[in-house]
Amino acid sequence: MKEIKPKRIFEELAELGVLGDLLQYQWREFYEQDEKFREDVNEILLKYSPCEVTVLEKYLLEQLCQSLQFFIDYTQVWMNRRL
Amino acid sequence: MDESKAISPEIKGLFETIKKQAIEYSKAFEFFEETRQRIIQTQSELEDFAKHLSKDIDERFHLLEDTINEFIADFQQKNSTIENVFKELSRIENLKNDLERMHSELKVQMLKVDNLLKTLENKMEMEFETFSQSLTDKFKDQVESTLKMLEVKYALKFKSIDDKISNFDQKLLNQTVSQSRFSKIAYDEIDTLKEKLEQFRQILYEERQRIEARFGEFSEELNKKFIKLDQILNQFEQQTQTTLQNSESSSEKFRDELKTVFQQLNETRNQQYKIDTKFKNILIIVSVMFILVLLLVFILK
Repeated sequence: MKEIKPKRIFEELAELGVLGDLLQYQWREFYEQDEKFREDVNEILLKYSPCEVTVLEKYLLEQLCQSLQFFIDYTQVWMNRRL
Repeated sequence: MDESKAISPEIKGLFETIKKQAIEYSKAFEFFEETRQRIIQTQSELEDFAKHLSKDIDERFHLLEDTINEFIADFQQKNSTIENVFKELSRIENLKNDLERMHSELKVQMLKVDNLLKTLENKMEMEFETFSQSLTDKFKDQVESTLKMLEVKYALKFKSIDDKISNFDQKLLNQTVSQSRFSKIAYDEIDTLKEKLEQFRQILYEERQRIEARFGEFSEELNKKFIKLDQILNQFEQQTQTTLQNSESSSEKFRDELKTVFQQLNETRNQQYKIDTKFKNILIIVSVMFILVLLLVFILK
């Protein structure tokens, strides 16, 4: 059952395809510092954006890099042992 | 959910690739985890086994230690015993050496003692000979003097005894003279008694001969009477047979004859009984008299 609620401004901006540019140029600092806001708008971008968003891609790649780095660090001991 | 257009397909492909690799890694990690769990389990089992083995080894070690301690204690005890035995053996050996030494010393001392004894024996023999010679001489002198004194003493005593014996001989002669008179009278009396006994024995013999002759006569008479009785019985039997053959009329006569025959038989039996009793009485009297005579002769002797 689909939830019925009013559409938010970020969602409309995302549908218009301008939210990414806004986050990249206008609210960049806020986006980078506020983790809750970042998670919220990233979710909105993923749902409503009709085009590719560089900020989101960059953020996701950074997260991926962090995760892979954590993985590499985590498995570093075994690699050393194997060596 | 619709596919998002906010991410480029390259990035999506990258994420897909990473996702697949993550799944593979997850599987590998799960395998590693299982292997680790198995290794941990095996490790715990090995640790338990090691603990058990260690405990078992400890117990066996303690047991072995106790056994070794016991063996060591036993060995030490036996060692001390053997040491004591060896000490005793050495002491015995010393004693043996001492004994041998003492034996040799004793032999030497015995030789010395033998020599001393021989010399002493020779001396003693010489002393004894001289002493015995002197003692013999003294004893001979003493015996000769004593014998002379005894001869004189016993000569006097013999003389007094001879006098006493001559007096006793005289008295005995007188006594024998008087005794011979009394004995002669007694012997005369015994002779007369013997003669009387001989006469009595002769009379007894004659009486016995006479009784035996009378008994013989009586026996002959008895035999004759038995023969006569047999004849009578034969006659009676013949008469009976004739009487039975002739008739029963002569039964009274037969009864009389039978009665007379039985009377004669009874008389004969009575006479035989009387003669038997008489002969028995005579025999008893004669035997009693003979015993009395024998007793009298025995008493007189």
